[in-house]
Amino acid sequence: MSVFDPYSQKQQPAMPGLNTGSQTQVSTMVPVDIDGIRTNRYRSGALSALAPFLGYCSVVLAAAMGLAGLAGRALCLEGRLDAAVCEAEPSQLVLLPAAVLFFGLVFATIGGSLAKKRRASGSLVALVLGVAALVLATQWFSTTLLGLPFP
Amino acid sequence: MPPGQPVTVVNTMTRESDAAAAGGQPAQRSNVPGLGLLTFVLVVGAIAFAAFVARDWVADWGRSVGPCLDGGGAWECVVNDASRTQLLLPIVAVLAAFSLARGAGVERQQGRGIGYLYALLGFAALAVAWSLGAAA
Repeated sequence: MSVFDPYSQKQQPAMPGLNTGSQTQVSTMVPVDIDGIRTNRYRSGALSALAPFLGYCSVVLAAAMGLAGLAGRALCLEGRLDAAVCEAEPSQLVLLPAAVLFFGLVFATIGGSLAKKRRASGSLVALVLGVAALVLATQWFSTTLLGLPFP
Repeated sequence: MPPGQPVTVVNTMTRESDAAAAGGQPAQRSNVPGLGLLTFVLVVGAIAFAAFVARDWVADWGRSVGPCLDGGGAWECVVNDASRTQLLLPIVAVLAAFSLARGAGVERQQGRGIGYLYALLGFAALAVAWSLGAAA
């Protein structure tokens, strides 16, 4: 169907839905508000729970490591204990809890921030890395530095 | 209308049809009645557990370390089953309850029922810590 424009004396281009009778093909080209949240755009509650839990655990673990190192050294000085902690460098007994605290909080912050931005995969990777760092640090602290059961 | 002129279109479609046209499915905002109250009770319960139950366990553990060391003990006085179940586990359970309450709160804001599961997991963590600590 063609439309003749008497002012320009030309045939108008057919614009379905505007000057011809059919379904419009003109896009509004603007984002449209919808009810609720779109599919796959939810914020994960599990990741939002895991991120602060990782941070809390890193604080508790760092405190427990520091106290355990202090108690181990005290028992060594009193001659009650004969374990690897007696030969361990004191700086290691201080730096490892500090590193656990730092990296645990950093990974928890990254994971929580990504979860808040609805980037679930990145958040999950950050949290898994944080948990792995805490587990490996705890094992190394227990077997190598202390030489004692911990925790 | 001359060709080349900008076209102004008044949007008269419904919001649901817009969402379908935009490629996204309109999510149904489900009601989660009582989830906010459940989350609040979880947080209050965790605080009460820490203040009235775990505090006594920690005090008992602290009082047991001195006599154990005086009796010739060493590392086993500091790290033992009692320290795990009456010191470490309650702390972890309370922190887990706080974290799960946060997760439940996030789900409640989005109207998702899975928040109930997180809240119940928080109560379960407190219950497990309580039972193991009381049995030690």
